[in-house]
Amino acid sequence: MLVPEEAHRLRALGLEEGADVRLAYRGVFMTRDPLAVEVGRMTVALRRVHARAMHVEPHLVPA
Amino acid sequence: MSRLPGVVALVGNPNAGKSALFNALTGARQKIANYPGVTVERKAGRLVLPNGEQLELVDLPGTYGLDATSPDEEVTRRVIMGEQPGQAMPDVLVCVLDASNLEQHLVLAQEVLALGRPTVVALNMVDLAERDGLVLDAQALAAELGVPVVPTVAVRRRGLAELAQAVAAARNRAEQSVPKPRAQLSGTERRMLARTMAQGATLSETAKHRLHARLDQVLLHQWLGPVVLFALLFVVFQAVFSWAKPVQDSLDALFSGGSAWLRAHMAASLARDLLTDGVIAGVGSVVVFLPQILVLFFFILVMEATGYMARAAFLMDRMMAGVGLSGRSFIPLLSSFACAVPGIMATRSITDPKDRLTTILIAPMMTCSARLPVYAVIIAAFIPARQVLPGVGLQGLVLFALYGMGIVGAMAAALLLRRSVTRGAASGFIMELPKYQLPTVKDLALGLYQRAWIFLRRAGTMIFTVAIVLWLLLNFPRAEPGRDQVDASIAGHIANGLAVVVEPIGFNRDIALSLIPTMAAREVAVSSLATTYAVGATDEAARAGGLGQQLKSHWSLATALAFLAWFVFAPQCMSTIAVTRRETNGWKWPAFMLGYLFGLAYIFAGAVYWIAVAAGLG
Repeated sequence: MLVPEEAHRLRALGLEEGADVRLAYRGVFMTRDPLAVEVGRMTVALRRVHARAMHVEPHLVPA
Repeated sequence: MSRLPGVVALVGNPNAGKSALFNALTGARQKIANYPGVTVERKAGRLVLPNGEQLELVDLPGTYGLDATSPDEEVTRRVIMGEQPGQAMPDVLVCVLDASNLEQHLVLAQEVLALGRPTVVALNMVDLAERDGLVLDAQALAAELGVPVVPTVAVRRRGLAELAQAVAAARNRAEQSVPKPRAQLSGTERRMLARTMAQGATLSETAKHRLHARLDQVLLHQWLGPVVLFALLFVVFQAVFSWAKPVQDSLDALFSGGSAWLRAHMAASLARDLLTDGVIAGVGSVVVFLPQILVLFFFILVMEATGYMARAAFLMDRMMAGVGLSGRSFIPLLSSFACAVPGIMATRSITDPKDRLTTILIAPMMTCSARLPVYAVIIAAFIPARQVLPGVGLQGLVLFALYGMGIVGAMAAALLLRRSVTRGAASGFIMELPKYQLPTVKDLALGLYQRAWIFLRRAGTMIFTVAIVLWLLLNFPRAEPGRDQVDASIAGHIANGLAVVVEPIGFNRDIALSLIPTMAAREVAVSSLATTYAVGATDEAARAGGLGQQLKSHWSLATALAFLAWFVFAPQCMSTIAVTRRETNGWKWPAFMLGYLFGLAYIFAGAVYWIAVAAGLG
């Protein structure tokens, strides 16, 4: 569960309903946390706990 | 500057290139202050319109929206709405957009435009957009938004005249008509509209391999990333010592030369002693550290301007999470190596209040540059310049250990604080990783100049005053002939009282004496020891021996080590306490900070002293 401010910040960075996201980088060794996610033309860092609170549907990227 | 006939404000997302545009529009003549009551930095300068008229240009803190969550964003919202005390409502708003990220930046732009105020849009960094293979149509965007859109490249001074022209036009239009406010939209609707508008303004888009993606493959790599970061930090600290050394030596020579010249050309008098022992010894011993501070700030500015600082936060997040903090705390803590005051001010970007408070409380343990003079003098006097391993000297090792003690202490304190006084929900880490950019020489030079000025002003006012007051306290009342001047002085009497408290941790009367003025600023410890021993020195030979020789003859090695340990933790800096009070809105947390840090300092200095004595170093 996210606190309201975290949800607010994620939305402000473009992680909204309907956004296309791509997992670009996973953090340092061992835990691989936080994550770097590409949304639009931006790269946003967030933790796994935030990612878990999002509903993501995979779709194929055209080659 | 409030006498200028109008106010123009720059609004935009973080990383829109707002500051670079502000620097390009105003040049070096900037006024940096704080908004009253909050420590949000207020940057203002002059914008010259095409007709020669001058307006005040204000650079507002970057924000993602007008529904503020952090103190920075709250100031931006209040200034725009005309609710910020002491700040006239802006006549024209300049909304700065990153041309290569319109679908994000147009969300805030819509919010600003919905206010129905005279607004001009600066389509900034169009060169970087072109580098990414993006060709934009500013006219189409202007038609869509209903306000003028000016393409700019702040770093190449492109579009600046056109922007000033558009501001002038918007200001003249202000009285007659303003664009009609759009209907109230939800955030999601604004974002969808932003995407449509961004697509409409895009003439062509070729998928190019973007530079930052390739850089990040290395810099954010799970193994390589941390290696590069620590290598970089190692280089930074090496540079702080080696690059600054020649400049420092010549500054030092300048001050001792000046002192010698005065001695030779002025008749012996109290006034001459005040100049040489008080002013030059006091202020000079602090100013020589300006080169080191500038080298450190140079690296911090470069890391911020290139976009690497956010990557460093990303890499450090996991480690910081281990003590209950987040990667966001890394930036303020790194700045605290230069000075805790900007470090504590930089905590404003931490959104979680408990997280922020913890970072503020541990920031003073990061070894700030003001401690360097103290460490440098003591190490040079007491630690032999011996090689421990090839290329690794004992002196450097001791210095490294002192930095390490501060970091370990800070992390341990964070862990304990997060489990006790600053307990709260686990903090999150959400931040934009901006595009990589080459910093411009001009922006770096301006940043460095501003830091240097702040430091010199401090040396010129507070440290100057402290040096003189201490000299007076040390010289009056005058000792009878043949008696020790320090013992007879007012300062000597105060120190005698304090010495009782610090004797158990190996501190002598001279150290107790130096601790009093050191509350003003840590680096004063060196100058006050210099002043004490200069006043106490009975003959010219002892004076000429320098501070290092004086220390060696008055202190044991155990005392010197205890003194170093004390400075790792002791919150000896009024400015830090003052900024903590301001940032936490009260005396509760600065009082807590004073208590726990003095406690730690006392315990650690004592432990070091007694262990050293037991080891036969007493």
